[in-house]
Amino acid sequence: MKASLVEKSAVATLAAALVVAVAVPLRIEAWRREARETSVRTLELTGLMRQGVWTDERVTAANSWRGNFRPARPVLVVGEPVRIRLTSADVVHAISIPGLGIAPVEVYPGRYVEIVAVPREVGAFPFYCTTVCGDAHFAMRGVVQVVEAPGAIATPPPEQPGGEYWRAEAPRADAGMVARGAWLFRRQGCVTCHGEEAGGGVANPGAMNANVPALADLARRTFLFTPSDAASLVRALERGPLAALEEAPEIPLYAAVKKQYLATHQIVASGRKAAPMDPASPPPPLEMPAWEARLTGRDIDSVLAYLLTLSQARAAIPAADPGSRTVEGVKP
Amino acid sequence: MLRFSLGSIVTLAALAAVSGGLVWAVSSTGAVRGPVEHEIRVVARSYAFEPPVIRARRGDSLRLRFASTDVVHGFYLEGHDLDVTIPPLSRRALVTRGGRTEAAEEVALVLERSGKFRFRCSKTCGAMHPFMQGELIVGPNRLLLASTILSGALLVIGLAWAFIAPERKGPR
Amino acid sequence: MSAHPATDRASRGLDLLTRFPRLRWLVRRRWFPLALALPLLVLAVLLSAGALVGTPVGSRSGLVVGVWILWWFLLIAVLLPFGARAWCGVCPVPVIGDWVQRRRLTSVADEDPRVAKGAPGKLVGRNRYFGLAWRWPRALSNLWLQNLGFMLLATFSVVLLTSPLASAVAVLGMVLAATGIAWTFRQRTFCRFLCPVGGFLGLYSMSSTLAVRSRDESVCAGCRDKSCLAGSAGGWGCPWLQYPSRLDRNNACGFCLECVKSCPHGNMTVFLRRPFAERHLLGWDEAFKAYLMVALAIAYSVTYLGPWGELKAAANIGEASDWRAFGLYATGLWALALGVVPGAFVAAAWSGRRLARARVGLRDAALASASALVPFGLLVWIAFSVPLILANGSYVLSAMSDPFGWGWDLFGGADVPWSPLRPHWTPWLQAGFVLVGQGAGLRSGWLTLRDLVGDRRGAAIAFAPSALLVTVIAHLLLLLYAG
Repeated sequence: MKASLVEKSAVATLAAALVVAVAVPLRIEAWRREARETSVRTLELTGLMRQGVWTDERVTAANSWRGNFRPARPVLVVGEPVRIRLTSADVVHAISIPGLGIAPVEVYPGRYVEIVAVPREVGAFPFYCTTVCGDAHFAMRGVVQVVEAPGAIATPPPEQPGGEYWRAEAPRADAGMVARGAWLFRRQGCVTCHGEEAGGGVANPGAMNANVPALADLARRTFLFTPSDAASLVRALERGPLAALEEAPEIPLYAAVKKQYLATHQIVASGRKAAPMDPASPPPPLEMPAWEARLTGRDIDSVLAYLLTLSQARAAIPAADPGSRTVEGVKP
Repeated sequence: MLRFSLGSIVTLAALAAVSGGLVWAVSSTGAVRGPVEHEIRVVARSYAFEPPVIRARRGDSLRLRFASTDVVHGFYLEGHDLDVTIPPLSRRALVTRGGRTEAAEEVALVLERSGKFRFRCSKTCGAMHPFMQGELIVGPNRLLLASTILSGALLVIGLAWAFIAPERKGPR
Repeated sequence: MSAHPATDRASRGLDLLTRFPRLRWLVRRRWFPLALALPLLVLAVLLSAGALVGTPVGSRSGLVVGVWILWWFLLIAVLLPFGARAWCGVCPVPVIGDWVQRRRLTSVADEDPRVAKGAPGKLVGRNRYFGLAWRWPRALSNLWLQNLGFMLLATFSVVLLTSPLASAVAVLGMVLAATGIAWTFRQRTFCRFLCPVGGFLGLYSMSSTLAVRSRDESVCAGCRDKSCLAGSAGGWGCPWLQYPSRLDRNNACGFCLECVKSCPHGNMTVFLRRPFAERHLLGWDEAFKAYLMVALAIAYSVTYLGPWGELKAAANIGEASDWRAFGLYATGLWALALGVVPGAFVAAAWSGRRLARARVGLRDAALASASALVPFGLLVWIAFSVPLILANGSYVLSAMSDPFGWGWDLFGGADVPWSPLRPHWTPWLQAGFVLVGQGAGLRSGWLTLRDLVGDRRGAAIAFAPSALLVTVIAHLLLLLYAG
């Protein structure tokens, strides 16, 4: 029995519908890719927690396994409005671009957030992820460069400290507290804000302290004025938590040292917000996190022991911290 | 459905009534101590809560603090008007209750109903997010008692009936 | 004749096509149920192709949410208990394969075998099929491949359920596989012997309330054409390789309704009957299907619905790369499903047989007591699926409004927040389903053993160890769900 006309047209319709069903999503995707490349009016950023990056590449189900997406390095023209479209490919992120007047806004997985911004000044403006989104969170920063005219060459911004800090290799189990502290300082991302070897804090736009405190003079601020005092305290920490120590170590002004040390420990454990310079501006993107959920008391002591060991060499030299307007001493 | 004789229907009903009474009797005798306040720190990580199971009795109250070790998680408690967003490395959580959302370090909750209430993660945190959950069990857990007894009763009655009920005549 | 007269009579009930003439009209249309399968095929291909270029976030993917929340729940809680293998009748996966074989969508290639000669393709009965139309090997004409396939899917279920990429590959892969098998083997070989979903649909359809059966045996006895088997101008010969006139169990009937269209005497119909009507398992493949489904229901309830994060992390091989933990999890899963649970039930059947001093083979005793797991397994799977729909059902509207995660809002629900629906009812509903399943399972098991052994008391003694085992599993599940 030969197929009737109705039969043939039914088959043809089904075949066409299937072709359309495959082609439509692919075509739409191709259009979007073209639109992204030719237009500077829309900047599309996707947050990725594994890699710790805001990328301007398209992240789809088929390619999300890649770990080498290109970090976004947007170049905008002063005075020209730009539409920033943000999404996340995995968990909740948040973005903050204080230089463009963008306060932290949350970006949910699979959903889009659109912001229209007009850059008012020429320069390099950092952007940050401001919601902890995993191990690589603190690397999730970049720089938006605003140039005078289209085609102007922008100088590449300096690399941020830390690199792929979350891949830092753990020391051996018997390597000691200071070595462990050094590793934790890197592995947990402290280095990305406080600088390599706590030598210089990065800028915190909009904060009273223009930079994140460098911790080079932690020993001095803890009233440990000589290297041997700092070493004594580290030895005491290796025995156990200071609060539980029965025999006080031989350090001058030990009561003040202990009080100051415990205050510092508390700041690391429970965090501290950065005081804003101007309540009307976007809040500072960086703040001291509360590490108690991730680090044990001993871990925090290890990091502080490392910092004290680092800074003991400078304990005798007066503080010379460029760009820092920090008040002397750490207030509890 | 099943062709039960009158005798077996009566037996079933009697056993159901007895087990129901047993459950209620057992559960009432349990409530001799006064309400207790539990202070619990709920730590969320992908993909579980610590503690995974919280046990309390009806009338107790909970004081909950929240923390997350990796990414933003949520804490949605079934059967109670509570949804908390837990940002990592922070003591402050965003608590949504009664339609309002505010930042808080602690949530106080009075357990007025008994039963099993799961708490789930309410912020997408990865692949297993829809299955990230823990359990709040507020005693007396009548449902568990009743259903377990009924289950045992099904076995016992079933086998007993197979023995006792008369042999049916003729083809089935 | 049929092997189990008791079950055969129980299969019948209300003759729906006689009672509802409009239904009979619909069922006899050549375009039904194809008219449902075709849009489903287009939808499945569209969602899968889009999923590949869409968001990697599972809860935002129309494919993941549409398949694993909406379709799964409707299948296990509505279609299967009430409609037997009705899903197979509208399933989009074999549609292209059917067309490849038949070169037609709605009409029938009907030829008289005595006069047909020389045309391309193969004549099977009165129907001409294109492709190779080989017979499926006898050694594989059972549920074993489907058992293995389902176990493989279960092992990687976390990846499958949460990743749009994995789901798209699975759906498109099934369509391609079905089409390839349709070109090579005859009729619905893929559906009968390879489809992992079909494996458990067939088993649990024994408990369903619908059944396609012949009305009057004498009409079939006097029929020379056997159109239901060989095909006719009205319909293709049963693509499920069944003999519809003698059909007495639901396991392999895919509700394609060709026999209803093909029978010249109008003697095939759809019956509405009591649930849990069919009880007899015919082989170890079916028994192991029953065992592994119960084992997986336990494993899934512990892994997915439990509060234990280490287990979830071990199963989550798509995100973590802890192959050691995953290996342990997978080994445990396979050991439970193919070793512990079958071993326990076979041991229970053996000890029951000894206690009752029944003169029956171990195989017969084991298959008879395994029949308890058909209603029990079905209801336990429904119990497992309840929280999926109550807690996560709101994703359906939001994911369907933005099926590829591109910022669309087709149905206005894209920004609807996740809102569970009365989730604290879940333990009550689950406990209820477990208890009903246990009751129906105990009944089925005892009745089947009575058919085997002959007397009530002997059957009760022989069934007691298995009944105890079923009750223990029920208690374990109640503890998981309600305590």
